[in-house]
Amino acid sequence: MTLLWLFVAAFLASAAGGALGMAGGIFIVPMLTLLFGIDIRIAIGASIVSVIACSCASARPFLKERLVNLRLAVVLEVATTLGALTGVFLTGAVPVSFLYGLFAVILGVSAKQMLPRKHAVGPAPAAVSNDWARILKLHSSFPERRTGAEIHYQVGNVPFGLSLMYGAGLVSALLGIGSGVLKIPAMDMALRLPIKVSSATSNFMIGVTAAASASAYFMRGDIDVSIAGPVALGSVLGALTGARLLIKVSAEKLRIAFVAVLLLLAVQMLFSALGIHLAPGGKT
Amino acid sequence: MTPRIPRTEKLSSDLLWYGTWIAVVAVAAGLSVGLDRPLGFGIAQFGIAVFILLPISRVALLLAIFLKEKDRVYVTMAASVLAIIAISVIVGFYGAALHFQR
Repeated sequence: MTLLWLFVAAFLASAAGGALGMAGGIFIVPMLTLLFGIDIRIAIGASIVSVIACSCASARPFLKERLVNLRLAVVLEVATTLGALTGVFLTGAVPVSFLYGLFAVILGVSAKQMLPRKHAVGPAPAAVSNDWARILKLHSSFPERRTGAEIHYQVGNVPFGLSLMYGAGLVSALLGIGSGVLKIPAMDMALRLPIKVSSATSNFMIGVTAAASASAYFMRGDIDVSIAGPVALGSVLGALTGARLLIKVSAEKLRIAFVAVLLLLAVQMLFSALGIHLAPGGKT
Repeated sequence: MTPRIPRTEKLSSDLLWYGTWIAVVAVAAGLSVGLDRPLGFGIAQFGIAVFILLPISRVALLLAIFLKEKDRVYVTMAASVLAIIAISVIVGFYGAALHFQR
């Protein structure tokens, strides 16, 4: 019976994530710990598998529309996997209350990210040094969906992008999330990519980042098949459903609902960090 | 469907798509046999392993393509990603003994 509920929870989390173009990891850990009372380390192990499942299941349309910058993905993956490796070293050492606290912070930051932005980012400054991007042949293009016309784009500050990605990889390994919420703004700010390319490339990369830490957790025996199994199945179906919703649902309404849920979860996780349990079945 | 999907994109897409379904079938089969039986547990665990191996084999695929294109910079990049993941696996394996007992 629990298997079924785990499946449903992962389905909902991944469908909700997918509808905004991310993996559902950020919802999976709070759900597993707060609703199911699962140990946070086991929840993180299951969530990291869910992130891989979401990334792999939703890659196809992004690749077919040539929205993934494959070269850029490989370059940034060097940084994200290094970050993940650092995270793997740290997981054994950091106390559980720190994990809950960090999770609360990340949820808060995500909520802020989700607030409708007043697209005042401004034009990409031409002054940005493009040497790295030129040498690495990162500038690319993709076909516009309706007209099929090629849209060319340049890649901005690669070293800055790499350092942000290292941080995203570290957080991903520690908390079992895809940390798309950190990667997409990193790609916006540092690399100045078109939003579609950012989210497609980020979604593509989170699988590899998650695989780096997941393989360590798998070898260590931290991935509990009875939890990760149903969660992975729910995530695949959820990610596929979410990708369809992405087109249909009003993005603005969805964002507002998301902010509310994220803030609620942030408060809950913060209470857990302080050792106060409000939700039924919540235990460390 | 756009007719002109480049080969690299097509290969990566197929690898991830069909791989996902192999993993899904394995996990579902394992769960229906039952995790309390060694066979069911084994099949489900195999499915989880397939999920984890999918993005890693996607990097290996890109490495092979860069090798064929003799693109030295990108061969180094993709090989580094694989090397970092390999170190992570070793850390996980040997770290098991050092890890906190629950």
